[in-house]
Amino acid sequence: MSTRPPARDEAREILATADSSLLDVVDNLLTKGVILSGDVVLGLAGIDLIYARLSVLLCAVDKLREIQEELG
Amino acid sequence: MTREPSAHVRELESLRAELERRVGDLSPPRWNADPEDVQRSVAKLVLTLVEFIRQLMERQAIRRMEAGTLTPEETEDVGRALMKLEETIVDIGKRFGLDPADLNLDLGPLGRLL
Amino acid sequence: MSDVYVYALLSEAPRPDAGAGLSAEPLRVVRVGDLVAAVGEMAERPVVSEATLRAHDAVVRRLAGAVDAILPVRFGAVLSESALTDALAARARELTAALALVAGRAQMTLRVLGERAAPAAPAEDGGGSGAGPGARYLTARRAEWRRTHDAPELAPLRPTLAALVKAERVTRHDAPPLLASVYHLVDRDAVPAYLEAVEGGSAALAPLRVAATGPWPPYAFAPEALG
Repeated sequence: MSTRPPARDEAREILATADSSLLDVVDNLLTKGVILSGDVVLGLAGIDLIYARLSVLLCAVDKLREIQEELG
Repeated sequence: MTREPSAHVRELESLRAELERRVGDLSPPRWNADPEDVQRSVAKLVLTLVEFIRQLMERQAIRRMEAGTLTPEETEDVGRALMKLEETIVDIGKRFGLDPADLNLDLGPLGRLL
Repeated sequence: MSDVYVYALLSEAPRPDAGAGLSAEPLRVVRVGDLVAAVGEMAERPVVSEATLRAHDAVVRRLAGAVDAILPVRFGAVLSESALTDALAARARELTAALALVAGRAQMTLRVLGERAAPAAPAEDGGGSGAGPGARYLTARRAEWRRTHDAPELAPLRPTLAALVKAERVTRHDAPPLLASVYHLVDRDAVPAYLEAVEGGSAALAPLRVAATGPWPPYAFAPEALG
């Protein structure tokens, strides 16, 4: 496991001196774009225990209905 | 579209500040109970997750309103349920000394929820 | 099998090949149904730095030039290939729809600048007379939702932009002088006309101003994370 600082802290460091073109790049790359990890790590006493993959669980009901209708 | 240099600097600074606020973390959010106050940690997690789900449902209800796929009765019922849920979250939070502002789970890439 | 770093989702594999990634790693594609993901082998997330961010953007731009439709992935997406396949399969419908929207198009970013935001649209009557508390609450929530996703400041530009803007996303900042960021999806060959329209209409926005950048790959038109 990496002991690097969290990405947010790394981002803040470069934001501190970013010129306007880098600010635009940060806006696009760090606040936009497809997110592929909708997961969470749960733990106790500082120890990570469970990795829960939420990305396959959450889906709007409308979409479920569409899929059901398609399946007949 | 020329702007004075000082105006330009102010604009840059405000974009910089906004991005500092909005940039989320890239790794999965972590919840780790504080061993000194497990009860409060649990309450905080539970309420934040419920608030998160409440917001998801609210967003979906609004989408359905826009799409016209909710009857007036359903609109009334869902609206009331969301109101009640919001009140409940605030009330239970108070019992653990949690203000709505405390319910701010860091959702990693999704940024801070609230 | 090592993890992969995901750069973008595409409608087709880039030809002749996907080239190299931000660590000079060779890129390949992972197919899930109609979706194609451009990935490179990578053990862990790269450091967030000016160099890595610009390199990731350069890869996405190169891929954008080689395909018709591209959905850029957020920086830092390192996952196992099986997790990637699961995520794409679960969201195939909305990702395919988003790809269809961005086909042949690019993003223009407008920063709306000024000291005071335009007033929001007037609050609507809560669901008509006789509406119960639940309907009034939901109507108020909808009004707030609309307010946070609207840029009324651009009203004077709407007539000239309407034909050019295929989709719009708004992030309100309401932190003068930065009032809002507006992301417009325009056909790639309409970018010069778009810039002309913004330039030509900017006087009508006074005392507000807009600053346009782009074209960008369509980062802002990815579907929301949780549908």
